[in-house]
Amino acid sequence: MKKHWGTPPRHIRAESPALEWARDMTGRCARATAIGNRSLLVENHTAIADFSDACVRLDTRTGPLCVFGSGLSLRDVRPGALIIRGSIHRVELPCKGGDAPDEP
Amino acid sequence: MNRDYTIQATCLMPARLIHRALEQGACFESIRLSGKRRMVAVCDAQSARILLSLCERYSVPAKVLRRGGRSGMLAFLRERRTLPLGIAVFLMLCAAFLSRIWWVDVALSGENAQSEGLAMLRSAIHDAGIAPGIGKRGIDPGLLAQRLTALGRYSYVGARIQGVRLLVEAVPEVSAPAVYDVDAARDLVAGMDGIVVWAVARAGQLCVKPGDAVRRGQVLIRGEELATKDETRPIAALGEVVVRAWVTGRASLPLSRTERRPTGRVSFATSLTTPWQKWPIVEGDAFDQQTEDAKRLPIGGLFIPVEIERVVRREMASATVAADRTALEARLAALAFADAAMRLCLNGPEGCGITDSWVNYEQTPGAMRAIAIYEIQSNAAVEREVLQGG
Repeated sequence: MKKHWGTPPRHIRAESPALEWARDMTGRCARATAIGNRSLLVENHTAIADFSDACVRLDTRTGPLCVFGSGLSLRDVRPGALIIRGSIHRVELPCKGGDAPDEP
Repeated sequence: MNRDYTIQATCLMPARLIHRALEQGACFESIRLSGKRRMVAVCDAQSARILLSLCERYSVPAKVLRRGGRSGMLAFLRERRTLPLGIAVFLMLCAAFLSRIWWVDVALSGENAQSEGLAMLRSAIHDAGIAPGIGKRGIDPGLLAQRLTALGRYSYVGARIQGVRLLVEAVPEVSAPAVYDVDAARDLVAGMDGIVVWAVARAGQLCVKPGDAVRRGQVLIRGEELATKDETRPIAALGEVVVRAWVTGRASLPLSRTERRPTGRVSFATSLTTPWQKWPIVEGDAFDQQTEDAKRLPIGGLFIPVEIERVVRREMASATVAADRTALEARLAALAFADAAMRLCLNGPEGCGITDSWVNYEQTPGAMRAIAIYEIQSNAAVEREVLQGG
C-alpha cells in the first residue's frame, strides 16, 4: 500500500505533536481558516475546480475541498491562497490526508 | 493589490479561466458571479492584461466595466483630448457674450412715473444707437445720460452698465403749478357734473358740501372774502372740489344669428372644357342657395389643353341659431367697456381715477344691450375761462 510521507502513523503523531507542525510547514496539506460563517481563508490549494454562487470546489494535494453556501464570492485570489466570502453553510474537507483513518 | 480594473467575462467555466490566469501570475481583488455564466473580476492592470489576453485566446467575451488608476486617467484624458480646446472656445464665447449689452432696461421713478410713458425714452435710446448686442466699449453712460437729459422732459437721467445690462433710470419732470394773480378776482366752477365727495377751499368761500350734486358751470368756490363786518372784497378763489361722476358706454348685439347649413342634397355637373369653349356633358340641378366645388381633370396631356371639369353643388339653407348667452354677455361687456373707455379719454377730465366699474345688461326684442359704467373721481374745480375755452 502506498504511504504518504507527510502523514505519519497515528501512534507516532499522538506521541510527537511537533510532527504536525512539520506537515504544516511543508505546505503539503491545505489549510482552511473560517471566521464565523461569512469568511473562509483557504491556503495551499492547487486549483479552483469549480466556482458558483452556491459551491466553490478547490483542488488540494490531499483531495477536493468543497464549500457550500449562498452568495459565495472569491476575494484576494492569489496562487495558493484565497478567501471565500458569503453565507457558508457547509465545508467538506479533503479526507485523503493524514486525518483519515489509516487503512489496514 | 489595487482595484484599477473591473472586468466582466462570460464563459462556461469561470473556474478554469481563473485557474489559467492564476497560473500566469495574475491576482484578483475579488471575483463574483453576476449571472449563471457571467463573472466579474476586480484586479490590477497586470492581472487585467493577463485575463483579457486569455479571454482573447479562448474567444471568451470580455469587457472592461471600469478602468481606474493611472491607466484609467490616461485613457480618460485621451478620450477627452479636445476638452482644453472646448474650454478655450467656451471661454472665448463667454468673453464675447459678456463684452456686449444684451438687455436695455428703462426705469422711471418720481411723482409722474406712472403717467409718463417709456416709449419716448426708449425711442431716444434707440436713436442714440444703443440696441441689444452693442459692445460695451461703444457706450458712454455719462454721455447717454446727458443726451437723455437734454430731451427736457426728465429732471434726472442716470445710465449705468450692470454686467450685460444697461439700466437707464429717469425721473420725469414735475410740471410747475399754475401761476395766478392773487389780486385778480375769480370763481372756481364745476368742470363736469357729479356728486361732491369732498371739498376744501384755500381761498374764497366754499359753496358746496360733500353729498351735493353739482352741474357743469355751477360755482363751487366763490372768489370773495370778508373785508369788514359787512363788506366783502373780491379775491382769487383757490381750492379743490373732488366729485364722483360716471361715464357710460353702450353696446348692442342680436340675440340670434343666421347660419348657412347644408341640407344634404347634392348634384353633380360635368363638362368638357378648353380655354376657349365649354361643352356640358352632365347638367346637374341648381339650387337657390348652394356651394360649388369644382375639380379639373386634364385629359389632353401637357400640350393639348382639354380638361373635364366636375362641379359638385351642395344645397344650403339659412337657419336662425340662438347665440350663446354667456359668450354674448362677455362680448357685449368688452364692447361696452371699450366704448366707455373711449368716451372717458375724449371727454373725461385729466388726472381722474377710476374707482369702480360694472356692467348692466338689458334685453330688447331681438337684441341684448350692455351698459358699462366707469365711476371716476376728479377735481372738478376749474376757472370759468377754462370751462368756456373747452
